[in-house]
Amino acid sequence: MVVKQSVEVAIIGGGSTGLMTAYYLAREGVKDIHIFEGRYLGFGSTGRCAGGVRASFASDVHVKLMKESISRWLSLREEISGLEFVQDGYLWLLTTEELVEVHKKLSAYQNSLGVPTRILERDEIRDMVPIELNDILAALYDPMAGKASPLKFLWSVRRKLRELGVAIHEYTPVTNVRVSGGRARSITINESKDVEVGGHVVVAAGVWCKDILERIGVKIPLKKDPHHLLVTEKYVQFIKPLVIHKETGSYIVQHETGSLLIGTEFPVPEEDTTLRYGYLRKAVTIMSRYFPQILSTNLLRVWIGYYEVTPDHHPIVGVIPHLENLVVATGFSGHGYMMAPIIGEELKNIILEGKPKLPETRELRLERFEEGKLLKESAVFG
Amino acid sequence: MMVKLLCICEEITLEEVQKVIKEEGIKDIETLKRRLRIGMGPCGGRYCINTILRMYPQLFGDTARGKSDTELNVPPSRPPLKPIPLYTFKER
Repeated sequence: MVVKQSVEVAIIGGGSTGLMTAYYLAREGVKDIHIFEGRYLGFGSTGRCAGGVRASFASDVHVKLMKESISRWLSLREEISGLEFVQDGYLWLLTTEELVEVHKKLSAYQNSLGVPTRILERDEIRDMVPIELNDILAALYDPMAGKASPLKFLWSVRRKLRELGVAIHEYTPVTNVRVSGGRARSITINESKDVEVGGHVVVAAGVWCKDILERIGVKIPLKKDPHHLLVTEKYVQFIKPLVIHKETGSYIVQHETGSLLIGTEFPVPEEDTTLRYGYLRKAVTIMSRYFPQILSTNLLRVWIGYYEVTPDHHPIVGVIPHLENLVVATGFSGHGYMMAPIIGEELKNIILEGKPKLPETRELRLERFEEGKLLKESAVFG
Repeated sequence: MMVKLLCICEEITLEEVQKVIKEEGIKDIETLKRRLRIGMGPCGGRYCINTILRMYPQLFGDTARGKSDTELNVPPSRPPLKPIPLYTFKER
């Protein structure tokens, strides 16, 4: 598609955040929305994630935003044909007395914010999933959580946006943003062509936001944290909730196709995307201890995707200081896909109303790092 | 009725491929792969992706001649080369 000389809204990044922003803007009747994606939609973290969605977090900001996001996920699956969201829950397996105590408190905290998590005894866990309990003492169950296939999300939203008249420019990398007089004036695509922007520029390029913003002298504290994931061949449906082994940060989820996705905490150097055999050993060894039936299925693929991590593991969302029409959304620290619906809607609010609707979103502004007002979160894993 | 299967693993017909390319404006193999799961089954794309490359002009209305795999956005091969049972990786 040939890009015009000037556009109203330019969204940099064709991942879940950018797509949702375009969707909520288009639904409000905004015209001339253009998404610029350097590769294909979902090339970054969206297309590489496991598709888990939950509000059972350990910070007010995450819990409240994710509650809102889940209500959007439920309406999106009605609004967008092909989009899948299955509310099958999350199950956190707890293997030490200390973890059980912490999660009892966590559950009480989450209940107080309207997230109905509860502690399950061993018998109740076995009623929920076909599991070898071994050393499991108890589990935290979150019935509000669920899973949403990232691939179905990508093609169904792509199709919907085309219907709504949003222009999607694939294989069109944005290499620069030109700013003057306190505004973003244009973006440079393919390192050659400048496209003027009349309204807003949204930077929603995941880990690559850092490179784009550094070009205009805006520093954001963002680290590229590579995480492995594996997928198996299709397997008979046997496990509904996304199951996490809390002690080791390992998880397993089965999507509608039957494939199993298994992840585990396996630290590697920043930006190192070498696939590690040790990851496969750890993921399979831990998960097969509880689900030995998976051992007979085949490994199909393994890959690495980035978490874009901030110092307080909370995202950066809002207008860049002193640049009134330049908006950023990144730093989701492994939760960008699940948060995309509410963040997309809040970016729409920022663009159309001048500010986000929810007080929690306001806390995500970039300035908090300079001001030393970091947010707190203790439940990041996988 | 005769059906032409383009992707055996995911049971995707040539007709389905032509339909989504036309109706959804898909212009590259990476997007097609994620749309229909072509190349995501046990063959790892060794049959279906090659078939798509052979049919590139017919499918995408463009010529693949003289273009590199990068220019054609041929999906990268991800390990393992063949499906391997998970028990291979279990520590004993």
